[in-house]
Amino acid sequence: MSGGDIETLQALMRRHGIAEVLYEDAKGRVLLPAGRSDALPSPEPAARISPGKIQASHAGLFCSRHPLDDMPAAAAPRPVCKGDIVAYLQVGALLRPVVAPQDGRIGPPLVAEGAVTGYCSPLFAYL
Amino acid sequence: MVRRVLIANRGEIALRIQRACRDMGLETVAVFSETDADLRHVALADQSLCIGPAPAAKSYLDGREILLAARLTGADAIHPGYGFLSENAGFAEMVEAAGLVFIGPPSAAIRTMGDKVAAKRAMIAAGVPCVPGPDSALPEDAQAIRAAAAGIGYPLIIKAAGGGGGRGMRIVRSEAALVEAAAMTREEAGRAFGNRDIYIEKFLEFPRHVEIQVLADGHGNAIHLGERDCSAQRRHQKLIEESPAPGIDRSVIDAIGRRCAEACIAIGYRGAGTFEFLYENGAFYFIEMNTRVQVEHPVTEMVTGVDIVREQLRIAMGEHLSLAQEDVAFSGHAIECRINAEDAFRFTPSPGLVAQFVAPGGPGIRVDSHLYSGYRVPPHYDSLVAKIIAHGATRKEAIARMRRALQEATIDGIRTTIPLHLRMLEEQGFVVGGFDIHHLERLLQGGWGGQS
Repeated sequence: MSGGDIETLQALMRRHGIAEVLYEDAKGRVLLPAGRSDALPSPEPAARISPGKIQASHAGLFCSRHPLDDMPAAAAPRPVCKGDIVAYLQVGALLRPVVAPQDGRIGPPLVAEGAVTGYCSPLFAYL
Repeated sequence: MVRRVLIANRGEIALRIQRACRDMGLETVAVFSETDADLRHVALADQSLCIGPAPAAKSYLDGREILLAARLTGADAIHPGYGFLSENAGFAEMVEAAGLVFIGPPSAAIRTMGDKVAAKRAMIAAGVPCVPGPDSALPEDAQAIRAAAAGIGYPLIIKAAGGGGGRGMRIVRSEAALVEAAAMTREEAGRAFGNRDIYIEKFLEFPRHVEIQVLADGHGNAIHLGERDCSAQRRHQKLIEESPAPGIDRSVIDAIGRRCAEACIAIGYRGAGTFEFLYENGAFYFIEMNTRVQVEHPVTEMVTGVDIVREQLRIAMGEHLSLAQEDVAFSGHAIECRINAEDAFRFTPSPGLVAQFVAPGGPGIRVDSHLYSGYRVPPHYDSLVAKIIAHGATRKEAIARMRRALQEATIDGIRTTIPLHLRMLEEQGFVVGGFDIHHLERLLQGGWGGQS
């Protein structure tokens, strides 16, 4: 497993609200914390900051998880770190991430899966 | 087949387009900036979508985001209105490439007419009279510049090929000032328009601004809908427009109008458009073409009965023009006053909450406005908040009706240009008609307006 694989795994963990993964076999034991995301480059500017809300940074169809990700969306409430990808906004083949603007715990999505959301639409509430 | 139209604009023109679409049974999508959620057309549209923050560059001028919004909402056509992306050939091309209908001319026609040198060349080829001067960009060489100027005579005007609307121009009155003025205009043109090409023309000292409205379909048909006199201007911004133009013979208008219609066919134009002319000493001189619907289009609608936005939509849908030149009938006189949210005589912007809005009405009055009581005029955009159009059997009757409408209009909470218009309607030069484009500036410089 490369360093890139570990970062990918950590990003997945953060997205799904998993704090740490413990792998253990006969040879040993590996503990992987989700870690903070500040070190990871953010592909998109963080979603607009509104007190207690994560708002859409673009218009798009709301997707709670990546279309190629066959894992179920993280259960709510869940912890998020600043910079975490918490959902996606899709227009055709274009997929734009929704990034948490701050650390905290968020509730379930405020919009339905696949709903058309405009710029600034509230998507999640911090609890 | 057009079923759903995305309106890529705001304010009164967005509402105007919304109404035309509704009349034709077309669905509408309103895209708006964060600050414009309360616009009237947003409430009336079948679907609405916020596309970005208040700055136009990140919303109404963001062609990529508008195209994504069209895809997201299932719109199959985009009406750009005026301003913003309406004359952006690159955007029209993007719309075409996306397989959507751009409700306007082909991108190639926008590009040709957007380059003033190319436009002038096309107009000369089509037999449209132009301001004396070469139909090519000015060379860099100082000697060649002097030679070109000598062939025209002074005063002359240096213009940016990529300019328009009064921007990127410099008047030169003697050879001594020529080369430096050319260099400065070239430099400014490069910075402002991304095109360093400049050209020179004879400068007309006291012209009127008279423009011809045209419609052309995609089947080789083009007509003109007469003229509008837009000489009441301040700093190249029109304030009052009227039709017919006082004192110009109808046969002259028809002759120049037919030339414009023929030019449309020659350049492969499609949609609504306006040929802008300077008119001096009985002669027309082409200055530029606006490849979109104009703010002042209702003036023409009132004297012809033709719904120009509806025609735009029909043409974009591949239909033939709904009337031939012989069917165009002119009736009476129409005047439009642009009501801006600004101080009437200092012209400083006056955004804010409209505490009360009561539109005027009665015989011969039309109001195109997105205002309503409780609406907040944002500071981010053009200050136009209403257009009052008066129609009468004669110019005198149209002026009387306009005066009554302006007195009747109630727009509380913000300052507007209504006091300026009321003063203008009583001004002797306006009452007589046929004044030049500097008339209002001269009045203002003479302290005519006073304090509002």
